[in-house]
Amino acid sequence: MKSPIAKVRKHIRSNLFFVEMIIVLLFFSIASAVILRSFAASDRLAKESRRIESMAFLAQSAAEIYSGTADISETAEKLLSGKPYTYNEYPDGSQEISFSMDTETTVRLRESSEIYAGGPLKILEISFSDGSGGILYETKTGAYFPERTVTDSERQ
Amino acid sequence: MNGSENKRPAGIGTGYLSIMMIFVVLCMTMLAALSYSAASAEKGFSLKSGEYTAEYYAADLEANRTLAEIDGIAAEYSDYADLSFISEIEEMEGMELKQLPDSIEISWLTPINDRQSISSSVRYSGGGYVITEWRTVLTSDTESKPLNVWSGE
Repeated sequence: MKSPIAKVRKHIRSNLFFVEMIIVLLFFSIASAVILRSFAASDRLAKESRRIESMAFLAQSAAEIYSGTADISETAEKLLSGKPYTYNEYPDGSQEISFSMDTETTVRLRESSEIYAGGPLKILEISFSDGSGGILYETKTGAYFPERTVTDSERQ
Repeated sequence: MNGSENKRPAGIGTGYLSIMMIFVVLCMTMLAALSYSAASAEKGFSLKSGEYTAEYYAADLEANRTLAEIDGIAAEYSDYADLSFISEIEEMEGMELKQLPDSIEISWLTPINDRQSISSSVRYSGGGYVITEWRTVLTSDTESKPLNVWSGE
């Protein structure tokens, strides 16, 4: 049979253990909440950087195709390879093609011209906007194909 | 002396949980900090890369605009060795002219940013032009500057 003092000691130890466990669980849950928020922020940053990269790659592809074709429709055909897009023509002669890059991002390609004595300089504006219409990324490129005879160009 | 009184209690003793918790929280904090800094650096790199792409194509457009201006002047002349043509080109800012036996070469730089430019050259002969150069070049002398490190003296 155990003595009453041993029983009290065991009881105190057991209580101390439970108090410690409660403190540990409390602290651990607070720390976990903070750490999980940090992981969520990292995930959001990674998604944002992937989105920026995708936009830059798509803009680069469009610019490269356009510099070789100087035609907005051909650029869209080659860029989208058969996927649907919306075509608009404006009274000032500029043309616009828009399509969705993903569920949140809309891409707009707008072509305009500057007339020079040798021929037109065609300009393609590439812009990416979110659902609210805010511009996320934009760039411009141009292609000059003179109307008169020009020997084959060699770009390096 | 009674041996049973010195026996340690079975199970987890007081303090072990705290130590384990500190270790786990430290590990998780380190992982979270590392993942956040990696994601932040990746975003910074993506932003810079995207910015550079936009800058490059904006400079490419400007270089094309200059080419269109030059070609607009050239369209009015049948002979590229004409002194009026040469003087008109020379009046344009940043143009370099090189007269060759049967042609004329015009070169110009279009800045992309404070370190790089697009170097373009066109050669006019006979019926039109040939682009002889269209490439990115370094314009700042950052490469030739030595690193500011301790030399051991």
